Amino acid sequence: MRVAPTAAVQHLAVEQRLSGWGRWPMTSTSVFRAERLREVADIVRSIAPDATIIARGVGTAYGDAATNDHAFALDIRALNKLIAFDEERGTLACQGGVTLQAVLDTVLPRGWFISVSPGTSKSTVAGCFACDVHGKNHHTAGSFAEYVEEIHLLTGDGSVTICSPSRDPELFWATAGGMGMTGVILQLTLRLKRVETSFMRVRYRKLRDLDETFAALGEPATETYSVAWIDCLARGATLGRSVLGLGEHATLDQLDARQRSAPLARVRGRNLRVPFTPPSGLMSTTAMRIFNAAYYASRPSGSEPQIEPATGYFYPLDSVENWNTLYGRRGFVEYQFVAPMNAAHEVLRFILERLSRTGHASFLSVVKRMRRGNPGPLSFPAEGYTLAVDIPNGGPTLLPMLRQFDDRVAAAGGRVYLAKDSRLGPEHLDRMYPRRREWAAVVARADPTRRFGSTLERRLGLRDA
Amino acid sequence: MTGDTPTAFLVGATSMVAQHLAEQYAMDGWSLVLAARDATECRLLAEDIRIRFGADVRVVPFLAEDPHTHAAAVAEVVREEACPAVTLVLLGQISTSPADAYDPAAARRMVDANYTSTVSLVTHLLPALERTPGAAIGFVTSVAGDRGRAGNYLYGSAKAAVNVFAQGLRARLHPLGVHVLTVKLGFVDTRLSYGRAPRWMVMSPARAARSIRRAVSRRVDIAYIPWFWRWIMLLIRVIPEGAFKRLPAR
Repeated sequence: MRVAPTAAVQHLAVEQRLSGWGRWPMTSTSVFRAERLREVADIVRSIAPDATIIARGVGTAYGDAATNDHAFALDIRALNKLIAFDEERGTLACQGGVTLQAVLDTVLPRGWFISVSPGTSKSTVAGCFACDVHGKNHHTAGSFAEYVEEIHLLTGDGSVTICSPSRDPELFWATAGGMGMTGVILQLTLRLKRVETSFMRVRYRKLRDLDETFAALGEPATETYSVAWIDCLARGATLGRSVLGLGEHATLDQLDARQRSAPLARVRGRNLRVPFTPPSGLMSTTAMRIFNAAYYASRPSGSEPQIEPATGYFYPLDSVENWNTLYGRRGFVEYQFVAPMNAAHEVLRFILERLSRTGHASFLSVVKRMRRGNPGPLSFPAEGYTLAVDIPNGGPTLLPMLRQFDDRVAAAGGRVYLAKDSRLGPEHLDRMYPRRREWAAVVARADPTRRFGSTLERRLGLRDA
Repeated sequence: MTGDTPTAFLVGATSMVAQHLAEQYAMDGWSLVLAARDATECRLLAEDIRIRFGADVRVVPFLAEDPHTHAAAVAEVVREEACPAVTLVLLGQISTSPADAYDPAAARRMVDANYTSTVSLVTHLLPALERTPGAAIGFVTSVAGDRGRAGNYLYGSAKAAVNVFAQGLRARLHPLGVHVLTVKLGFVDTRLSYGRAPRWMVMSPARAARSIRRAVSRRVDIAYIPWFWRWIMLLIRVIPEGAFKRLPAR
């Protein structure tokens, strides 16, 4: 399907200081904005032959994935229309700029939920697919792309290709986790999940150290959703202590009378906003250590299941709109990796020891078990255990320490998550993503003139043969 | 119009401000008739609103240069000689190429898009307007219509023409209980201002839409949105012509 060019409308790109969610690194990216579907092809074709462009949603990728230093980006947030909602089959077709929050606003009151949810509902569905995000249910359900029935992809020449697992599957799976390198995702069809209520039934278990944490995570899954908050600053005997949360969608009979009167009500709490960027010192290691210890101590030991609103369970940080500014002007780095089952314990122990010894860590750290990956060559999830940790940026020891972690992760047969990455080097890429060259070949066929690029892609040499 | 639910008729429905207006009216239970040039975009908008709000939405083409569409659009909304409760005209187009100043065909298209098509639409709608006490019609124009500038006199003069047209219409329809609103918009965060106006000055399209709705319900005659443009334009209008013509073209 060729998108017809419009009459000459000059599109302007505004140069902006742009970063990811971690507010580091800062880039100088010239951003186009598409207000109508037909403008996307015009804009992509309008840039100089040697320039590149990256589609950008909300910018919730932590690092430089949706930035393009000294080149172009295309803001697709205005392409946010719902296209078709099949309430029998539970499928929703929508434009790429629709956010998960907007999806839930429409589908949850009618008894449907998003099959795979990352930790924020702010992200666009196109962004979720391009990063192939995962959620608390990866160990039972897999990743975001596994619940997408088809996509409409606009490639470098401005033409649109429809692909799915059965129609041009190579291009479909190259786009899943493909970091925007195959083109602009104009539209997708999501397969939703039936739910009876907008509440979750959650129970928590306190685990005293890394061995207990691993033992608990390794147990056969009884609940659909499972994630452990881990104290990255705990030392010695308490290294790796965690609070494991196990959740399930609550059924109608599990609600109390008041909840049952509006079982699918969407509880949208009052949103807080951090009013100014605090000095970087607010996130000092000592403060964090104390905070972590207090949080761990405050969790109840026995675990009676409790009923919580689903949006609070899935998107706890969304209620503080700009929580990333709490890390100050230097921002933060997010390190997330997955290591295979046999090596994970050792890699995690090494990394946790380093983090707690150097004090490079913060409150937000989670550990999770993952199941096998999907056919996407650049898709992050793989069978094993994943750790995600926010680290305040700054200091000369941080980046060398992370490179050490990269060595360990790569040697163990694991990989770093590109959607959160801001500093991985090209030397580890092929070991972490062994099918990368295969992926690069598919991308080269879809985008022979190298229309699409990003700061991340250049840093890693992602598309290099 | 259609039984209980009032209808909002949005002409130029695919602009960002119009999209927010459509969403806000639908959220309040109104029916909608959307008229626009870009049929694809208009259908996308209509279906999105149907899915999200279950609203009754109809789509009708409206091309400035095709008078048949003007008559057909009006025929779509007029029921038993009555017009919709609210009609909002958001037609307009800016010139994006400096070369247009030398192109008579482009100049004519600008005048059609910004003025003549509005006149045509209202002329078709007038009998129904005169028969519907309590109805409201709003013209969303621009502060650019308050004074001719070197930079955009085609756009500005066309908007000025709409403003005076609306003024006359207001006097004509007032005795019949029909309200005529003129909205003079300053910079709104859309393609018209993107890359052309300082970011701190632009208003979000959602907020602009809410302000327009408020102006309709309060039966305001002439609204400047955001409000401070009333005072800025007052000052600009007061500058003597001799001085104004010497100002650098912005």
